[in-house]
Formats: sequence, C-alpha cells, structure tokens
Amino acid sequence: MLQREVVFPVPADRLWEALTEPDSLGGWFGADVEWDLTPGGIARFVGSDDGDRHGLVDDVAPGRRLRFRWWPDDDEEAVSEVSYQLDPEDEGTRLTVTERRVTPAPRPPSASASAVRWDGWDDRLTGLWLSARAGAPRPVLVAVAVSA
Amino acid sequence: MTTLDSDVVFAALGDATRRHLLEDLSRRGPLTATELARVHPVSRQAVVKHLVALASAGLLTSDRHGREVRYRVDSDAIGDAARWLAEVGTRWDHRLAALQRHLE
Repeated sequence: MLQREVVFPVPADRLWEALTEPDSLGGWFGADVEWDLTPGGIARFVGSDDGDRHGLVDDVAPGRRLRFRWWPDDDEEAVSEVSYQLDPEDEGTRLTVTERRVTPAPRPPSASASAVRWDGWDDRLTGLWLSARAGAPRPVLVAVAVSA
Repeated sequence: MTTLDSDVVFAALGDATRRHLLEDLSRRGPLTATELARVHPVSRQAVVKHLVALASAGLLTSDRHGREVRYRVDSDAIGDAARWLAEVGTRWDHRLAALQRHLE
C-alpha cells in the first residue's frame, strides 16, 4: 500500500472542490476526469501520460473522504483502489492519499493482513528491492532485517 | 513475472521470524527447512509453515530434488512489488506538487 500525507493551507471544502470538480482537476491531476460522484458511479480518466483509465466510485462523503477503483484501458487486471481522507487542522486541511492494488474481484480482507502495521513499509520495501538489485551475484536483502 | 499483491507481501513480512528466514535465505540460500531450523530458534515444522507463507506471498520459490525441498528468494517478484510502489509513488508526488501549486 502506498500512502502520502500533505497539509494544504485551505479549508476542507476548498480542497474537496479541487479533488473532485472536473474543472479544478484539469489544473493539477494530469488527466481529464469525468465522474459520477455517487457510490457505483462510473469514472473516466483521459489524457494522462501513463494512458487512459476507467474507474468506479465506491465511497463518497463530501468534504471528508472519497474512495474509487481504477484500471488502465489496456490492462483491466491492474486494478488499484485510491482513497482520499480529509482532516481539518489548525493551519489547513490534511489530505491522506492511499493507493493499493486490489484483485479484480474484491475479496474480504484476511485477518493476518489487518493485524500488520503498514506505516513506513513502502520505503523499506523499495530499499529492499534496491539492495537486491545492487548485490550481485546474490541479493542481500538488508532491509528485511529491520524489525517493525 | 509474478505479480504480487503488496498487502499480502506486507502481511508476510510483518512477522519477525519470517523476515529473519527470508534474510538468511537471501544471504545463504537456497536452503532446506532442516538447514534453516538448525540456526533459527524455531522447530522444523514452524520453519516449514513460515516458508509456505513466504512462498504463497510470492517471495520464495522452491525446487524439489528427491525428498529434499530447497527454498530460494524470488528477487524478481520482490522487485515487481517495489517497482509498483515506486511508480505509483512518483505519480502521486507529481500530482500532489501540482495540487499544491493549484491551491496557492
């Protein structure tokens, strides 16, 4: 799972508008976005560098959170789920973006998966991969030794 | 190339014994469960259970030679999961930087 957090110096409703209004999205998202912002609504992302995408809106709480699944037109198996969480702060609004791969047919989360803390593992896994690549002839996965 | 479900990978790596086994295999592998049980403070049966969890997450591959099963790290599979995280992360970094400018 990938996660990013940024605090923007604007109120939540202004951030929500930038995240959801097609006109605002054109100014930063890197694709033209058309979507029906209701659960089950269809989404379309066109003109991005990495290809056009279809999407499906799963959860909408205006000003607070949005969750949708999307996949490239040329690889319908590569489904991932994006969620936005908006939390008011003293100096603005914290946006937490997560994106994770999901299987095309959603399945219930396993007990073992939910018991793990994910924080920070994305960077560690990247470090692990880099050390695996750099360490010829045999990969030495240094990062695996770091305890959670 | 195997496509890993990153949540399954993280779940597999969420256990300290499994991380130690994976690390050992990456340094000395391929190894059998018996060889691993000799140097790790867990029973052979427990080692087998952990190896199966790591293999089903796509992190290990195994080869059978007669009665012996040797496990090795699948660094391509680990690379695939890490590459997904790196690519998707870069895209979000660009989008969020553009959003910051958009909101100024």
